[in-house]
Amino acid sequence: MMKTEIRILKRPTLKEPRLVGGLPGSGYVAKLVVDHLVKETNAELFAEIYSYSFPPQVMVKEDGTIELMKNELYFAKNRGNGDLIILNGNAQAVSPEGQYELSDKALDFVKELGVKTVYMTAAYITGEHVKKPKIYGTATDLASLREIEKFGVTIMKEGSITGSNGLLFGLAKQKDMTGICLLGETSGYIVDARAAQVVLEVLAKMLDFKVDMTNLENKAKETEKLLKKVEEMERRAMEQQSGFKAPPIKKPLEYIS
Amino acid sequence: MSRMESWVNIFGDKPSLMESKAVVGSPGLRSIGKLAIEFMINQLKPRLTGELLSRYFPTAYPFSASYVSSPMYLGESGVFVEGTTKVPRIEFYVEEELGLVLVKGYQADFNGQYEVAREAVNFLKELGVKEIISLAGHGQGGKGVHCAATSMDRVNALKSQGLDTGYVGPFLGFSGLVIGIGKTEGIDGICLFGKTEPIQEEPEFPDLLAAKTVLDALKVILNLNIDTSSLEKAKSEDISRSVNFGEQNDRRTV
Repeated sequence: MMKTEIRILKRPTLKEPRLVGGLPGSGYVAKLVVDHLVKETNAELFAEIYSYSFPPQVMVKEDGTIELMKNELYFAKNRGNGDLIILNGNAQAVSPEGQYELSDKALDFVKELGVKTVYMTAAYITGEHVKKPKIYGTATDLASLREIEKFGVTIMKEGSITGSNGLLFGLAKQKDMTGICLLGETSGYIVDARAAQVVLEVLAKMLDFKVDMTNLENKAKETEKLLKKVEEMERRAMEQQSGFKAPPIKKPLEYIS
Repeated sequence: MSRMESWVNIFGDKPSLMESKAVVGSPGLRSIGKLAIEFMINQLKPRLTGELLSRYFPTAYPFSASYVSSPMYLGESGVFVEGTTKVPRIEFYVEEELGLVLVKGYQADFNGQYEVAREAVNFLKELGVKEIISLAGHGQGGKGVHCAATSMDRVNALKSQGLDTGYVGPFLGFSGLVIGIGKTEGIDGICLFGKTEPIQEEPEFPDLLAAKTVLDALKVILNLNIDTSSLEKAKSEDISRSVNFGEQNDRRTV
């Protein structure tokens, strides 16, 4: 029992569209990237994806309105060398079967609209907070790998990218499209606007368009202030309790979500 | 698909309702929604018009009910013995004069929640329902009611009736999904959340006063004349042992 439905609100005619996607996951990195992109490009909603595989719940938002869990497709015209299709959402499908079904349908749909390259975003979890997150990347073919390397992306040598953010670009190859994934380094413990910002900066360069980063920059600064406070509190508490400093973690945790 | 996995049985003639409203309550946090809908059914004596059965209604919860996050809690499940025996079901009652459909919900397992809610919304559409009101609880403590709705217009209308928004976050399970799926079908939706204190060991332990608060808010919205004072007098312990949980309460497999 898996039902996934794409509700088309409008059928845009697009020129050289590229898909950029990011669904909620670790550090909210991917979600922050696409939320920001949708807002800053004034992208227009044209399709909604509903699935029985989303968590069985609705979401009550700040303004008191309720919405079903869903993924959304937006378009923004004339961004760099073509138009953009942006995949956003408030949830990932829960089951692997649901993730496959949704990815399959979503990719078929954007392929019909002319998409040849799928850019997904994700988080690269290290377990440690860094001031300047690195960008990791991978792709479904060697030529694309060499291409993204030119933008300062550290090519992933091994590992796995779990969930829909991985599947959506991985399955692109099966459908004769190119799949690229850009991952922002993050501790995995916080909502990481800085990681999202560095991912979006590289993505914008790759696709040759400009995005105002002020809002993400402000969010990142707020988080960093909060982190400093927490670190200071922890340091004081530790000194008071034991009188010695805990050694830093030598081998950082590394996985991707 | 070779056979139906969730279906509705209709009893007697299908009522002809115009512009009707549905009120939904299901098992969940502190049994607020369930208590409220059972109270309304007892008070209004509506006609049982339909039942929804599903192979996704668990005969036993392997881990937990699909609306709770605690993996330790075992919710209601299995065949119920209440004098006679009945399989788990969602019940649809109709009060034609008031144009009300009362829905006593049930929680399917994770794989079936969407399908069951979809079937329920389809049936409510057939009954002419234009608005769904879900009654539930939220566990952030305090007293009173928070509201939410499917559109800003509805939210503002509720505010003008003296209700406040304030709960932000997920609303899990059947009662939430019928609101969400209803919205995609053009049916307006309202949620009334009674504030309550969660009890980790027994999440469904009844909070009668919270149920009363929710019903009092509902009375204002529907301009309904029902006396909820008996909920103030009843004791949660009695409700828990004798009425709502019955044999299930001692957690034996019957």
